[in-house]
Amino acid sequence: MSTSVVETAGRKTEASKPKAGRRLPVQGQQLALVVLIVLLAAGFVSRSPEFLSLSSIENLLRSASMFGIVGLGMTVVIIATGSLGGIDLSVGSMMALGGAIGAGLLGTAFSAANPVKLPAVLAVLIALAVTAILGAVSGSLISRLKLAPFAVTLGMMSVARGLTYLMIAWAIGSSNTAGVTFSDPLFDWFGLTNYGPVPAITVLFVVLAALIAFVLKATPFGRTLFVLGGNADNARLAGINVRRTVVIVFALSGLLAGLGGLILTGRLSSASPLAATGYELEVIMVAVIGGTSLSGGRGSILGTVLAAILVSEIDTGLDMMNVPSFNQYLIKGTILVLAVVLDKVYQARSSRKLAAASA
Amino acid sequence: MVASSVPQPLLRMEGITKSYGNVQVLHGVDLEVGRGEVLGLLGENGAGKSTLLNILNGVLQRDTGSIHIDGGPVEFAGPKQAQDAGLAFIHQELSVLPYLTVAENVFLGRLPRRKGLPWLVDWAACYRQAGEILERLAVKIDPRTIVGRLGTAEQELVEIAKALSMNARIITMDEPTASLTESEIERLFTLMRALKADGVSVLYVSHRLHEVAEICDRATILRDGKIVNTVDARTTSSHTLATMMVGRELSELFPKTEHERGRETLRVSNLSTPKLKDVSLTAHRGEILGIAGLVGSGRTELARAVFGADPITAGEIFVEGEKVRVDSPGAAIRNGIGLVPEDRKHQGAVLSMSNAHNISLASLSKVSRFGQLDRGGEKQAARKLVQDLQVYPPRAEQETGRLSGGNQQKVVLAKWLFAGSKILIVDEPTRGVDVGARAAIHGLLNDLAGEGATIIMISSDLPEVMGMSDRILVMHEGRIAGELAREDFSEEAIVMYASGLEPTRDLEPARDLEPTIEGSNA
Repeated sequence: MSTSVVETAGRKTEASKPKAGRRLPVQGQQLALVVLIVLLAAGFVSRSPEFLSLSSIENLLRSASMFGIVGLGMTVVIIATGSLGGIDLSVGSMMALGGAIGAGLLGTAFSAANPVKLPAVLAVLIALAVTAILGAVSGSLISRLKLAPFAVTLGMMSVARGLTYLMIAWAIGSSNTAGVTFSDPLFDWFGLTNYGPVPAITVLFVVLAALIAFVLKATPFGRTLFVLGGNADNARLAGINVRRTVVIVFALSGLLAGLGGLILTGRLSSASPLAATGYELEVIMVAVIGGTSLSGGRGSILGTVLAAILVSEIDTGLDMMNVPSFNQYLIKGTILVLAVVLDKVYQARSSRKLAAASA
Repeated sequence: MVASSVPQPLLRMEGITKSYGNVQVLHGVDLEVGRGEVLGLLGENGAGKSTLLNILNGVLQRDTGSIHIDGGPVEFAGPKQAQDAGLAFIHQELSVLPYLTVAENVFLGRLPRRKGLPWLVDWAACYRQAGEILERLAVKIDPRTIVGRLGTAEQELVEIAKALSMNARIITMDEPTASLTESEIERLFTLMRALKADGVSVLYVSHRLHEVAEICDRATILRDGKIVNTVDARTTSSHTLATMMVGRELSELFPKTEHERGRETLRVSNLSTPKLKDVSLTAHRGEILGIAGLVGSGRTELARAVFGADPITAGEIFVEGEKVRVDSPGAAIRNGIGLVPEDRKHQGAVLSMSNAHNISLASLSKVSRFGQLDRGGEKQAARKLVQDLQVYPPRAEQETGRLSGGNQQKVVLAKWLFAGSKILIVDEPTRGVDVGARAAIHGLLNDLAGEGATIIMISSDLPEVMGMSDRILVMHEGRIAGELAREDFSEEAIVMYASGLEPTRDLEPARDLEPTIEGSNA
């Protein structure tokens, strides 16, 4: 009873004047990313001039495209299920599994023991199907049993890693951790082909990013993802099929992680059971630094693309400067936490504005 | 009939006033509770009971007035000070911690410490002292029991034991019987009589009028923030109490427009959920069907069940005479049902989105072609609706969260207009809405009914539900307790039905009204 009185008392009939301020911060964030990319590049170049060499840039683009493709899935997962605590921790293992299945089914591995020899296209499609299905399993556990995405995908992370070991052991006929080394034209396209100076997978990345950006912005399904991520209750009462949507976004994340794993395998011409260990950190960084709010309902694909470049730039630059990997962990971890802090600050500010507007 | 004041009251509240902003909710309330007395505090939703109790227990600060205990003035800066002064507040929603033992709950934050080793808990003393208190209450519960394993009634007894362990002399109980069965209520009353004998006073809030007659010595009736009367609870009839609680004429004018009642559009038969028992109703074209009842009587649950938001355990729903499966809100929307929920901010509107996006939300297919959103068309449709409904400012791109409550509600209504809902369920449509927007929303609902829609309006505001409705169903404990035709509308009848009683006037009894006064709780 008292609450309704408070509400009535607090309400003013005049609505606040609209401000153009709401949209700007996101664009400002993207601008900030561009500035950061340029500043960092300048910094790295001053330390080691070969940072600007063609091979270095090509390497950076490959790495950005790989993390970016997986990051697109992560972005969609967080936008659509952030209000449920949505995150996909299994992407690193899913990458390893995708690569292992793709390479393992070729039967062309040196010292291959498996009796199966599939055409590369079929092997790749099976790899993508398996990772997408495992993602869908995570999604349906999360939406049907209302489990925490953190716990489910942490479990899936371990399951996918285990499957990777089994796949590779089956492919090479022994259970050591050596991995599958092979050569295949399709995988070379993933890992080596350039169109002019641009790696093939960068073209693939840009096409996928544009496609997903279009779905998010211009289709009914994309609209429902933002509503669901903002507030699952609201989405359900608007007639949105929450379960199906959650399954789809996690399946997409699995699919794109599998694709990222195939790219990684192509770059290395080998699939190892230890591949992509810890890559979920990079992928989550790409989404969060790109401006996707961990609370859901907010994020942009352009931001993810820029963040993929920034994160790979940091990786490449630190490698070139011979920064030991443990220092790299420190630096990247700090950057991730800073990005989350910035998101919180931004949210506190915009919710204060909302409160002030409706008071 | 007026009960004389107590010669030496244990608690005296004098001239208590309280305002929120420029709305005054308490207008100089005087209240006295004698030593060892059970005083009933009665009033409708919104009468000011909670505010008064929160002020007494230090949760809220009064604007003016004074509180005296044992004749001396007291000031409470917070709930802790009120506790120290011998007050205890047992809320309707129990606050026991389910994973701790009874003794830990009783001494929460005050566990007895070992002598000489004050950083260690003296468990022996803890269980012993808790056992002593429970014994004093004649309650047979082992203090080592985990509270979550106890029934609701026993958990309530643990709360009372906790109050006594703090030497409470005045215990406020806010609807303590709301979730108890008949036998548990009897047990609680036995305990309350024991407390009385010990000189403990109880301030008892309940909507169940016959309980007031059974357990209270006197009853004080609060209406619109003023004390109406204090009466002898044992000799005053429930009907008299209900009349005093309501006691006002239809003060606001509702521009009820009469329209032809058409064919049946919605039929719900024998609907049950964990919160609803065997609910049946029909609604018609051009009709505004009001649903009244106390908060928690199942009104919102009924709305959510019909809209497919909560699973139903039994029952059938017919739209336009055809049986439909409404197992999700999406299915409800496809069958032309819309819901304006009670919680506008979390369920009605997506505050961070624009008006246009909110309006198209439930019918995105209408603004899409070949799987692609037609954002221009969406904006155009939204612009027309915000202008028609006089949303201020009338902009399609405006972020909905920046609008006032009334304007947000208009956007939510616009969503269902755009979806073309034929059956619109509105749950507390004007709560927290200013007067101007209120009239606009009422006008809109009338217009919709005039155009042939079916409106089902849930409201706690009796003048509103009586002014707007063609027919009213009153709910009590998950059932339809009574049905009133427009010519039989009276606040007394609604309050009686809502309290689980039958109106004394000879009214059309509802089909499924139980013969007993109190609907069984089991």
